[in-house]
Amino acid sequence: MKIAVVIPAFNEERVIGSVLKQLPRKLPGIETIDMIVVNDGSTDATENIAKTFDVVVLRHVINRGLGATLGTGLAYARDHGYDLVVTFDADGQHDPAELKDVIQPVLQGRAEVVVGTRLKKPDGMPWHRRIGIWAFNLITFVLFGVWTTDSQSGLRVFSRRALEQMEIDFQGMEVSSGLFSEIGRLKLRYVEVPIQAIYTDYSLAKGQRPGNGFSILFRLLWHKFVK
Amino acid sequence: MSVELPFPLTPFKVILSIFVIFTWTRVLKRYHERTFTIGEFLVWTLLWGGGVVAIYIPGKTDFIARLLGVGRGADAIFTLSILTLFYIIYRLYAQIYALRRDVTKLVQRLARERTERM
Repeated sequence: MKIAVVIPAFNEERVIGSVLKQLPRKLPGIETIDMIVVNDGSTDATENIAKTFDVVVLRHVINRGLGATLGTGLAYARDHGYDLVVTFDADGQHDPAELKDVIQPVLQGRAEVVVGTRLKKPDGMPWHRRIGIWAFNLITFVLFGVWTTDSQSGLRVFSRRALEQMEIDFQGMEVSSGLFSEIGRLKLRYVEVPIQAIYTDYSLAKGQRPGNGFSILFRLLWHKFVK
Repeated sequence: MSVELPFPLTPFKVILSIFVIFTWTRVLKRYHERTFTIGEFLVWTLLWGGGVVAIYIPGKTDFIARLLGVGRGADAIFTLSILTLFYIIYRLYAQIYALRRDVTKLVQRLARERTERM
């Protein structure tokens, strides 16, 4: 069993080292865990810091957005024969110790896609962010027919089968809801695992801003009805 | 001896005329450069030609208004202009969207070809 942990990173020099240091390199029953850092055109030392660890580094020469960055990492994992792929935020908001929990449904054959949901343990999450996430959960359901309690979570797991079938054609932040269009289209078995997000001033500042919501909604509508 | 024009020439009409002539020369230039097809050239020429008619003979646009069921020729021109602008914005967005996707594909391909394993 080979696992790839895809870490999209844009100007994360302050925390990427600590995230890479804490991510587990060994788990029971797992032969290999590789870290795939996708540097999305960072202008700081993100890439140089990542290179001091035993990781694969993919570099976007210019910034293309979260969707494109995940697309690059997932395509790399698909082409290199990984059995299971985890996407993990580089801003330090996920607890590396929870990696072993979120992969279980796929390992047990119960799911092809898992999302670590923060809304079942929302302690510390600002109220306006909760409202924003619920709004996007609703939009995701209306547009793509899949109900989720955290459409915006960055901690996701994909089985090999899911990875081979999904078409990731998103550029920016709309990818988080957009991935559910693929879950719905391909009728992939979907499971949620509660996670505890770590909120710091840094991770809160890195998250989505309310103004981005309209842009994300517009792009989702475009993807759904026009593209 | 003064020459009497068949229509009153106001400064507003002069400015609009200069704008229309300038824009049409851009259309002509694009046609000569082969960035516009003959079809696109004719469509834009008709559009700007219609603009000239609307500037100098406003009454002539009333039949469009009657056709569309709006009050006056000027209203019809405004309505059609707004619809045309919406369509142009849609086309522009679609082109920008396609360009962004192409740039992303290029960047992703470069990233995968230059993978570094530490």
